[in-house]
Amino acid sequence: MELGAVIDGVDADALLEIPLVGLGFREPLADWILSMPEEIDCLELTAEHFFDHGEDLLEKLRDLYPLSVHGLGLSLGTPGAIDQETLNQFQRVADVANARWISEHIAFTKTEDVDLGHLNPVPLTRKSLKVLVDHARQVMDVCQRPLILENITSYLRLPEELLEADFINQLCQQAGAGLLLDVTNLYINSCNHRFDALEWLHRLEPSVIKQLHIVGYSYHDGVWHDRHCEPIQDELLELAAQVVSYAPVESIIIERDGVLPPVSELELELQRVEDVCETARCS
Amino acid sequence: MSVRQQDAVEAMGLLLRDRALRQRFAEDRHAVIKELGVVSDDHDCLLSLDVEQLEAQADSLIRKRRAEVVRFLPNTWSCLGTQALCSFHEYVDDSPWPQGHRRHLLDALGFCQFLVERKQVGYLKSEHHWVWFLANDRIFSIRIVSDLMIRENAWSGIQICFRLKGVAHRSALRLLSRGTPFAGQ
Repeated sequence: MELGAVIDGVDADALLEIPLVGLGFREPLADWILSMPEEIDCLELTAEHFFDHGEDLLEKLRDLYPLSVHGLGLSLGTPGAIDQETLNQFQRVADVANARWISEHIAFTKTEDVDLGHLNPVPLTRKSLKVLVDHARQVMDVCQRPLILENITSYLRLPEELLEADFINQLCQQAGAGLLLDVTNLYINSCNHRFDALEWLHRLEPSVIKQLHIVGYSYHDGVWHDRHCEPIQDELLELAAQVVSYAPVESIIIERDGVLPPVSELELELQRVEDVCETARCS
Repeated sequence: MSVRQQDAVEAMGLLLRDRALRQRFAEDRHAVIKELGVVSDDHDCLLSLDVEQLEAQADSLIRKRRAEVVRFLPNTWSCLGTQALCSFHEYVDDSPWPQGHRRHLLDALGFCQFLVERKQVGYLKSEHHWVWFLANDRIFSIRIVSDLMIRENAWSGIQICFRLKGVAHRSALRLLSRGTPFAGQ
């Protein structure tokens, strides 16, 4: 491959760089993370965890790592205005963190009547597309930082005017945003709704994929779940390798929640992900 | 009386929140769509919903709420034993959904209040005090409690909650061992 070439809108040099590997910041891991272990290249912070306090900690982390600030409650898929108070808080956290990226979900979490508190799918229609594009632009205007949008997992499949990958391509293109591709969510959806994850992936414009999320899935009673509490399975690492070979991914975040594993286990997991990325890029 | 027009996302929000509404929707979609005042452009979207998938999505929301509440109230959950799940579902059906970025904490607090009102065996005043303290902006709070859980034993003692540099801490002065905690039903 000739250096400097552009393939399918992707800078070929970008496909040679090894992505940064990091994890989602969780308070019980603070001491270890602040000790700057060599396995962590970057961090993702959940904005809502810093809405009430933690500015000192944010400043310390900002001086140690490239940070992404991840939102849960902006509900970009809800028609109407974004909740201004939440957006202001989100912007404040992103500013203090000097976020390299800000991120949210292709989803809705609340409406005028109810705050469901978690992510729900939006119909893949042109109407939803416009709502998401407008809201994504508004978030970028307010925060003045690059936005990446994450695919979610859902037990509910909604009617589609557009295929999901086409919807994401158009969303990213029209909003000027990137994709935070959650490899685990893609895998889980492909199992629960029986489609080919690689076919889905290859329908995406590679240039939109900027960052990955990964964590082990859970499996109970014939259904796959995203509980963020399992070690990463081999098939997820294989899928992540496919993505890294396909797109100029800049970073990969492991997102463990709930009862966190010992630090030694996280170190091994970070190392495994880095090895997979290196192999994928070198091949 | 005019009904506020809802679009598909708003209607789905209501369906995901309300079990009874979902049941009626499963029986007669057209009636519920009319009742909610869904804009005509979005009728097809709602008519094509798979009710089993809708139920699964709604269950997942409750499961995630429950997981967050357990994170705040691990000992309470353990002491409630086999009653825990049933009590939580009753609480969810009886209470408004918590709002905002502190919703999980407010949910834990609401669940404690529900257990108090029910005089539920397994309720722990010490964890209730802790989530109450977290949810309020107090700097310091002290309570005499009889259900401090320390190394799987229950103690009577004095529980102290305080904030240092904005970070909440809790501490306890043990006075009397009460042995193993009361088991759930």
